[in-house]
Amino acid sequence: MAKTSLRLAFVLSLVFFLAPPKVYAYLDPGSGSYLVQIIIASIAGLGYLVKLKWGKIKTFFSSTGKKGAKDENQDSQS
Amino acid sequence: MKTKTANLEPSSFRDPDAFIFFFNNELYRQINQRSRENFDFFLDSGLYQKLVEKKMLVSHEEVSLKLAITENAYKIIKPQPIPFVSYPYEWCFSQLKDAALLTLEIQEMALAYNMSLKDASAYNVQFIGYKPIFIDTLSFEKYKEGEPWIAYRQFCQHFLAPLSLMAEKDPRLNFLLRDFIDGIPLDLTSRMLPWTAKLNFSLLTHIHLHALNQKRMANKKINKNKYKMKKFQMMALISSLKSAIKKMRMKNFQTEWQEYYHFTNYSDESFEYKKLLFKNFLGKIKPKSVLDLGANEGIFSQIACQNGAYTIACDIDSLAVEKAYLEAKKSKNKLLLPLIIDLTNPSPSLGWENTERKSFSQRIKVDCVSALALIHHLAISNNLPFTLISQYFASLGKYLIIEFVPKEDSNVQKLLQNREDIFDEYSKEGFEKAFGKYFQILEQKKIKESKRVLYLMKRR
Repeated sequence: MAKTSLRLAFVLSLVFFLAPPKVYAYLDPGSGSYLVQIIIASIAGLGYLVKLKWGKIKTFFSSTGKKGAKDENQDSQS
Repeated sequence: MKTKTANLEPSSFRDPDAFIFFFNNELYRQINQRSRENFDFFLDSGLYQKLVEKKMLVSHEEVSLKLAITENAYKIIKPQPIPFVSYPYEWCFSQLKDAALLTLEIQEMALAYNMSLKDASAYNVQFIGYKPIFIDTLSFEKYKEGEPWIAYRQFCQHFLAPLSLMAEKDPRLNFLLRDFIDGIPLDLTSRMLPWTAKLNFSLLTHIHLHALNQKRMANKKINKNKYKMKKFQMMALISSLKSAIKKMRMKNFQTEWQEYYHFTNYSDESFEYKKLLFKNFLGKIKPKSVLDLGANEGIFSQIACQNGAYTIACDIDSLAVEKAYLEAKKSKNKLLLPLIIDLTNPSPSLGWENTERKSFSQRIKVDCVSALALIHHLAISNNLPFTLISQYFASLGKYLIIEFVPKEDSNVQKLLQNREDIFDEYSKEGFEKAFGKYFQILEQKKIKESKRVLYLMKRR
């Protein structure tokens, strides 16, 4: 996962600083468009999932937070 | 025998699933056997019904198979007619933007019904007044699990590329769609966009990364079993495209237009009087369709609409058309279609054999042409002889409402300021003589507090 993110960050920074070369493909089966939309959809999909499950994530963290606080309280009491 | 009476529409040859033909001047569509499964699923799933109810797609009725042109016909349908067919290179920024959003909303809805758009061509959208509507009933196919959106590249080329160029660079760049009939190539878009566009994540990915990847992967095969897209990912992709397009704004547009359109030399009173005269002339001829040439932001076109005419408001200036469209949209005017047309170089016929997209002159036939405060731009700025102007106007419509602006007028004087006056013919008499050749002058009225005259003419 970390490796993929690193690679993606590298590609995006490359895109940022370089102008694309002219496309003179004689036989272009459209593989570039195929792959690029899968990359974008994966990133967008991740955001989509986070948004969808945001409530659950929030309760998960807040409950673990509370639990942690409770444990600390218990520790200090004992 | 049958093909003798029916004419095939040259723009629909690309689709093996269906084609359009005209029979007794009415438009029909033959659906071929090969698209039977998808077409039936489209109707049975309820998607067709839903889209028609929401007025996002043209409705159709099924007619007798006797009209079939070839043997592989599955069904013949008669789609709801469109009052005037326009093309993306004639649309202003917001029209193209609304057409793009409509396409994405349809794709979202299709996914909910387990279908997907196989085309995202801007030519699949038409306008009825201010409202964009999808016209290709045969663009829907069953959604295939794992497959990405097959129309993604086309969507980027037809919509995202021209919109980003218009927003980030210059609104006139929609004219590139005229040269690139399948949308603006992404490598060209990427090179033309200002570097600041790379700060926008959507443009960085959908345009720049896309273009780079097209080059990198050109001539390469891809293992489709390895790279798959889940349905929620496709929905996320569509939603990211949608939010990218919704956020697009034309830079400097708001600040520029305020000052831009107040250059008339009329007093308020004579402007109101001109409106009244125009309204009276329209009341006399009651046209069903009006072509308003040099319509600017469409003030007179709106009067034609109030008179019940479907009005095409043309102007060369994309910002004026933008304003006319936003106004039509605000007032939900289904009779007003603003378009960017340069009258001295109207849209040509384009595409395969020069027949795929019809020229403006081939498409337009109206009851009445109006040309207000335009003649001096054509005759003086463009050196067009009166005879040629009247001949062209006569080919467009039966009636003509035209304003003559004499040489003494301050606006004409401005046009002549830095050039030699070679326009001996340019006088009221010369104008009447030349236009009298093609038209009969029914009425003429002087516009109060000005030297201008408004004419109502009928084609001979």
